[in-house]
Amino acid sequence: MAEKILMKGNEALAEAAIRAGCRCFFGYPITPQTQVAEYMAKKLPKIGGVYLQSESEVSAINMVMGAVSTGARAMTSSSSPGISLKAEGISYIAGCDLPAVIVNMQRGGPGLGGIQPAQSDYYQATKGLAHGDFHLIVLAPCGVQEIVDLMGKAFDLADQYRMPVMILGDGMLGQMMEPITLPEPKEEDRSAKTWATSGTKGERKHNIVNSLYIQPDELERLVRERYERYAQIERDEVMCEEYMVDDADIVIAAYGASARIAKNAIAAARAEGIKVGLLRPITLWPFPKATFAKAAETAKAFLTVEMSMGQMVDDVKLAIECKRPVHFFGRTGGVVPTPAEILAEIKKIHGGDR
Amino acid sequence: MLSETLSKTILFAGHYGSGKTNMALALAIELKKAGRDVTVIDLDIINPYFRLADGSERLAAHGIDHIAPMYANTNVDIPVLPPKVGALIDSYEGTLIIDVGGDDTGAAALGGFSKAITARGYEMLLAVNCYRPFTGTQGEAMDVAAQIEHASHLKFTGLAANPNLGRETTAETITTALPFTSALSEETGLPIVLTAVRKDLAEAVAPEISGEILEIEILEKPGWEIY
Repeated sequence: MAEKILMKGNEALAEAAIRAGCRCFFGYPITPQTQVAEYMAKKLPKIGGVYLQSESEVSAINMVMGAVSTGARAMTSSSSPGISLKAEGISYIAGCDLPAVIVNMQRGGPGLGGIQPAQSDYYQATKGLAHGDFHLIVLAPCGVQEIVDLMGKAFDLADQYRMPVMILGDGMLGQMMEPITLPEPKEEDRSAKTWATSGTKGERKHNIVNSLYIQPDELERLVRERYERYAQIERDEVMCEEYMVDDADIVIAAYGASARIAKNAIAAARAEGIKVGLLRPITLWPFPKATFAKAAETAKAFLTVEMSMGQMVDDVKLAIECKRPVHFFGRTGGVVPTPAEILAEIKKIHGGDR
Repeated sequence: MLSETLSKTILFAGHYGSGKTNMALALAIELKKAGRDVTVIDLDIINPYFRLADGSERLAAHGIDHIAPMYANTNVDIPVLPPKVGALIDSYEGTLIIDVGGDDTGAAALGGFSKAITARGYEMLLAVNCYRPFTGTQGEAMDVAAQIEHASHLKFTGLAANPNLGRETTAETITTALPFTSALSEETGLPIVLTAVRKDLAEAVAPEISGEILEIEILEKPGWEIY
């Protein structure tokens, strides 16, 4: 009835996926993202889509692979331990040059870990989700509206570059409720997917979707082609929010939920006369290296704030070529940092700078 | 005054995220202040987050007893209810406020107590926020209500309207939603028993609202909220 609607992150991402033309969802429930599957289960059958609860995460990702091979927009969603199970399938999807969207609403780990929010799958998502030379595009929203906006973007990027795209959220973003505006529904367009195994109708040569290449020369050529695409993505698709960076002595590097908390700490620090800003990578891969390098020209120090033991620190150091000290503050295991804790770290660094 | 109109067994059920817990908490405190003995039962065995136990200190501060699943707020997902729930429904002489889990899934926990609750006499309020998905049209809200009635073996007796857009709620957010609630009331034959309104907006919207207002106090703002 209203333009604005109050939605949980998990519900909003499901609705946004549907509005981006996704009609196939395959998944297995796991806290804290089960509402994604619940929402899809309620909505998809009513609009001619397929919702299927698989017997495991392994089968879910392989169902996604089958669906996207035919040119359909398809997705799966899980939380940390479930993503580990999907890893093999994601590598196959990358190896087959298929577009797919995978959502990880992270929780504490390793192992079964806990059910509270975490960001400790950063390495997994950006460096080594599974075997082989490949990348995922990794998008990190920091609120429910941005989840909605990035969901459509994720499907578009996946189609454009024929590769898996991950939305890397956390249990907090999945569970929090915020007023949002939804985009107009979009019809799925498969016309550009000439590679899809969608039936030849006797009119063309059949397409093959495959990741097995026995001859090393051929495999190397394919991987190199893929890396040319990755280079283009690193040039064209980087997204990063710059917040009060211009005059900042200390620049916080934080993504997702940590960045929202950091903003409150920044407000408190500025109220005390300490100039702090924020760089919030929205694409974790490709990492916004140039934006960080530019900030290093004026900032005196960086502070990485994460819900992990510091998995993004190295990327910040590399981006600024270690020209400034990179400090770290994090909570892990499902503990969420508070603005006061971050402010205390800012003051420590500020004091040291004097 | 809600304390004069409500019976001694009030259940909040509805779509998850519709504000059942916040309304149960606010109503418990209001009835207690009006002089009633109040005990709150948290019957939610499906959602490990945003639970009544988050407000347990406030309830305790007002001298209100609070019974919850033994694993509530422990992050352990084990759907077990304490035996005291049955005992309270059977024989508690004060006012019982029961916070039911979301949707028909959450209301299933109610089914086992339906005979005792019916024997005790009850009011089951359908919590509705028309700004939430799945309850944004009358048809959808009625579907959710029918599913809950089926799972709980109980019938709704009234509406608890809770129109809000979280932190962006204004007086206009609430007044814009009033025709929806009225239409839903006509369609279902369920009276609007209360309309929940954030405390600082109560005065502004009061002239527009027919029936009782339940004032909601928002708990301390969390650190991830951006202002």
